[in-house]
Amino acid sequence: MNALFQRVGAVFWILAFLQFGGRLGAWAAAFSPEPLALRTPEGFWVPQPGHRFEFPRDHGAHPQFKVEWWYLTGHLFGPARERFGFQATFFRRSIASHPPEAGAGGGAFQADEIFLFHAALLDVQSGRFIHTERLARAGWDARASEEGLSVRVGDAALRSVDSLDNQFTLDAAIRGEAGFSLRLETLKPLVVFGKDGVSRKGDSPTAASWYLTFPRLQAVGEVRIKDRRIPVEGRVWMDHEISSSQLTDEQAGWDWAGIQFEDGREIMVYRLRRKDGTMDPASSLAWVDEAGKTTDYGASEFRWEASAEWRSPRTGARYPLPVRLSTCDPKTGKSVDLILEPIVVDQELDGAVSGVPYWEGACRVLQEGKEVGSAYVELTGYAGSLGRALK
Amino acid sequence: MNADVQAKGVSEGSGAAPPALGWVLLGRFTLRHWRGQPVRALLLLLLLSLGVAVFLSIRLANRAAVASFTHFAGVLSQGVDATIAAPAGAIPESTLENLRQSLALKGTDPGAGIELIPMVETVCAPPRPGEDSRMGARATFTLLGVDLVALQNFAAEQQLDRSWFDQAFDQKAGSSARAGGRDRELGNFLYRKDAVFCSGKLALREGLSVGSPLVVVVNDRTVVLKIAGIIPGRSDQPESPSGLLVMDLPALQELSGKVGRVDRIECVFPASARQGPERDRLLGRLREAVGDKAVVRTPESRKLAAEVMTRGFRLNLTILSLIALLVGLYLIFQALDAAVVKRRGEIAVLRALGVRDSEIRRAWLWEAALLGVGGGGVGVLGGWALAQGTVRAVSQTVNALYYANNAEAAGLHAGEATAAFLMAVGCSVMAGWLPAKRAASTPPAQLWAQGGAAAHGVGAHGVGAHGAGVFSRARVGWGLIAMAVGLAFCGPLTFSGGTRFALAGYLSALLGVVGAGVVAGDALRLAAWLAAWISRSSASRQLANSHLRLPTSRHRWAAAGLLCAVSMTGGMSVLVGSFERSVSTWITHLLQADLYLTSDANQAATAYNRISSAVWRKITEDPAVADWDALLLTPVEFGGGSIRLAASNLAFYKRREQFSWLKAPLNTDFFDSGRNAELCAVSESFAERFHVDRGQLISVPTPAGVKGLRVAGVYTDYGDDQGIVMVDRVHAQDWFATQDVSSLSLVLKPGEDPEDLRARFRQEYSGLAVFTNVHLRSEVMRIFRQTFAITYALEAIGVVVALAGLGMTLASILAERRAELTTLRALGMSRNDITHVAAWEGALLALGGTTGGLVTSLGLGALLIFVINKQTFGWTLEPTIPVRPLAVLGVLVPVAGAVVAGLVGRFSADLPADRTE
Repeated sequence: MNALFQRVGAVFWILAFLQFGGRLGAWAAAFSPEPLALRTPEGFWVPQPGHRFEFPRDHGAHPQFKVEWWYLTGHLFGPARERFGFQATFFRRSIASHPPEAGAGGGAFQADEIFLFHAALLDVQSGRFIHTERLARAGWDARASEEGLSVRVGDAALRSVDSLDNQFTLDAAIRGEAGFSLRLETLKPLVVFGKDGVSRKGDSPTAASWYLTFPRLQAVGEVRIKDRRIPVEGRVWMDHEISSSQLTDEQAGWDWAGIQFEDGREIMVYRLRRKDGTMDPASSLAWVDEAGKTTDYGASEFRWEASAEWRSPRTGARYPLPVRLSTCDPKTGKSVDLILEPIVVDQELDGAVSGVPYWEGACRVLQEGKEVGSAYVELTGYAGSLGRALK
Repeated sequence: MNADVQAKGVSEGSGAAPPALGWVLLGRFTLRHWRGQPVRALLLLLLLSLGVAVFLSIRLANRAAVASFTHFAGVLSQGVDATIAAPAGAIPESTLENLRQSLALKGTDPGAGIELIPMVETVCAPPRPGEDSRMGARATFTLLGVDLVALQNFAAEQQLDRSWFDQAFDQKAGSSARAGGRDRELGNFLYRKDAVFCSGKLALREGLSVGSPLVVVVNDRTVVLKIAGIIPGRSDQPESPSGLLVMDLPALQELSGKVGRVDRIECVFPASARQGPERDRLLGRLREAVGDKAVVRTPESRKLAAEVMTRGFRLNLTILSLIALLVGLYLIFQALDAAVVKRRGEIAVLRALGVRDSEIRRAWLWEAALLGVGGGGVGVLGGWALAQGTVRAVSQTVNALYYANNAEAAGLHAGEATAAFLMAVGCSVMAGWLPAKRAASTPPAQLWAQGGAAAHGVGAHGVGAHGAGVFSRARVGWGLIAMAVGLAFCGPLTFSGGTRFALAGYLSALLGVVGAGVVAGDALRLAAWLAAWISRSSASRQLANSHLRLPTSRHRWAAAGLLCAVSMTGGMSVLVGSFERSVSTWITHLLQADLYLTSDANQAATAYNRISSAVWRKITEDPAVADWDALLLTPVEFGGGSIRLAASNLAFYKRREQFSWLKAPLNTDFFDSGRNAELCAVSESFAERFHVDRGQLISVPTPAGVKGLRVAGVYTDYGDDQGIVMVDRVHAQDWFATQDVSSLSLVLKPGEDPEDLRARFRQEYSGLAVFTNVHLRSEVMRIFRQTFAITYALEAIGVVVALAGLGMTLASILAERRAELTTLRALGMSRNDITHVAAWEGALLALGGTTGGLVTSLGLGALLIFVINKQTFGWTLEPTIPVRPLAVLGVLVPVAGAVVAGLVGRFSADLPADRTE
């Protein structure tokens, strides 16, 4: 577990961890062009409260911060009742706050940033789950603009259309076997999770992130599986998170879900798991209403339980699936029990490059036996200790 | 003979496998004789096996040298589907991003999913040990730069061993002081400019481990690299070659002076598109994407390019390796023909018993085939063993002439081994065909009469006992020679990329040698007549002369075998002598400066290490330097093959009169950098290879676009057989956007001592090789001779086989004359007298073969110089007859023949009449 591959992979798991670190808070008060006062020991900036986001610039990369990612998941439907689930994640990671003088030779092979791209496509009809991981140093094969949303890793790219901050294109190929090309348009305003624009994930002052989400986008485009091309439409969830923090030693892994209800609302929920089996107090659940307004619940105000277990035949990991989620519906004030049921149970990414397998898959959302929405669920730290992988 | 067996044999006689009668014949008719003469049978088998071994060893060594080259390129990228390279110079980094985007505009494009793996490659060498400054004496390393971060995607896709990077080293160094923890670990890998991975083989040989320093010369610098890890092996893939070093790409870019450029881009297609129409479609996409700025090669075409480059060299070597086999075939023919003569009594009995002609012929062919099987089997094993020594010689030559390779051992390739084995069996059967036919076609009565005579020890070389008649027909010989002359005027075969093969020339040589061998039989009579006149007073010599006045087919075959070996050796001597003289004249013209400097890493023909502009400018500004020139040499694609573009100060060449013109420029424009931007000179090899002449326009690719250049003149260059285009350096430096050069020539001020300056420069620039004029000339000639070392060895083996054949012939003849020898001993001839008779007969036989061989060698030499060399390499050579080597050959072979024959005679003198050997 000590190979560089795994180290590099582990770094991105730190990034992934940050995804669950915040709650909706107030919008940042002001954007400061000056370097932020709080830094990590390596000199990276730490997200501060009161930041005033500027778009489309803030949809772009923030190289002063150590880690950053753009995370898209969605459900797509074809004209002949085809159904697909997909994931596309672009991770950016700075290696040093200022590239050392001994850095690489030229812009095509930079040594100060590394990108990782994960993609997966679930073909519901065939039950086939195709996925890939791709690692690239910043340069010719991976680049993220600081001016607006334009990030590319290999063949995969996420770009804003005509520099707009509500229309994007997403392209990804999965080992040449499959691919998707989508045009995305926001259906709801951007949500910033966390208090005062900062999503905290621990006691340390540096344990914070800026967590920006488009919880619902309309997707139109095309899916390719081998030679078959299927026009598709669907719903997409897009996160963008910026941080310089790291996973704490006490945490063993996390579970996350992004739920899109048929009634136009969403839930973003994460459960941070400690090594002793308890839920970390930083865990959180947030409802997003039809207008994009959030209602937050703390760790004590929701329950995440396993209603069964699925064992991966490849890694032997035992994933708590389906998921039973219990919380309070702010609209009715009543408690709700939701079942997040995998559409296909084998949606495990094998960690070919990162070295850390995890489960990230498309689910149906059932309430009292009735399908009320769709979700994407992420379960990490079940195939060996994440902590060990991160050392 | 059992009647049932006979009947069965007759009825099943048409089958391919030996029927019952066949086995009986094999056991009692063939193997019985072998058992009776085990030494002779063994010697024959060994000589055949030697021929096969030499042939196979050269084939294996050739294969190893080519494989070593291609293995280097492919070791990190098993399963590469295409390679993109610039037709000249390197590929700008900007091409990579453009290529990626044009291949896949959308995620659903078919071009999406192609892995693009940029690579930088350079050749480096360990520093010279002490004062040793021989060129090409040190094994080079190929430094391969790959993006080790992106390589992990490939490793994951291909399920390769990913433990490369699990070999952390020197945790404290190489990372930012501000970086800590995990950053530091990543920093070790990403920021180390000196981190290098080596093969397990090299680590074992040099005692390297993770963290060990490795000193190498790259360009004009000596640098200390640090072993970051050992390249892991995988059981189902070839082991990493010992000369392979791998670095992170940007680190090597900086080290090799290629910042902003890559040498090539390896492409790996998605698993679903690696074959058939999908593969072709993606190749088409790649070609469309790169346009005319780069060329797309498939692994097959890349391997072919390496093979094409050395095809002429390898074919020539293969043909030379066939000398021993060819001579060996003479021996088989001779041995089987002798056996027919010897066993004619038995043949008569068999035929009288009703054994069919076809059965008898088949028995002889089985005997020949058995010889082939035995000789082939032993030869294959011997060839593999011999190849381990040959491979180094071949590798050195390929290194010096073509490309860097570190072939150290040759594997036993199943295809080559099978081919060599089948060749041994096939040739053996072919050689046995005529004797078999003769054995089966002679009427029983005639055989009986001749056999009876032979059985009583008389008339062994009398009427009817002379063996196959082909070699008694001088007309056949002259006919073959006439055909050889006709073939000498035919053109070469031309392959893709302009490589040519002088097939007609080689056929001409073969027919000429065989024809001369046939004619040589009559020359033996002449030799015997002359010898009789010289040695009238010696009874023993007269006795020996009498044997040659009416030579048996065995005498003729032995002489023909010797003629074959001597003529080929002599012919090669003529070629090499002419070559040496031509090269010597050429370097006298070319090398007129006092000092020459190049990178000390340029130990192979394809090592393009450079001297940086800062260094060479400083050197040329040295107060001791009166005049100087700098040469920029770079490979470019031309006409589907690889040539070299040489760029120099042409005015300097004119001042020093360095060109050896075959067709000089018609005016002085070519030497004036203000007027020669669109002019070039081409080497003779280039002109021959691409059929280009003075005045023609050629299109040469450069990074600044394709340049149309008018050929101002054609000059001689024996240092390269692929072709050179020479232009003024002023323009080439613009085209290639570099001020670095490949070598420097310095003319010193009067009174300056080149040796002193050489010592000073060597001290000051440890990465440079510095030669004085005298030293460089001697190095050129040493390398020249080194490249022919293997040729000499092959020729020597041919001569040894021929001499062994001579000994066998005489042993066979003397064994048949044992009754005569017994009588002579009874009449009072001593053992020494018998030895003298045999030695004289052997000397005359060898003299006949050698004289014929030397005469033939002059014709063969002319063929090699004017036809084969010209058609293969395109060089005009100054014909020279190397008197000394030919004289040595002319004396040594007859003397050796006399000694061998004397020894055989001495052994045979004591043979009792009733002993068969």
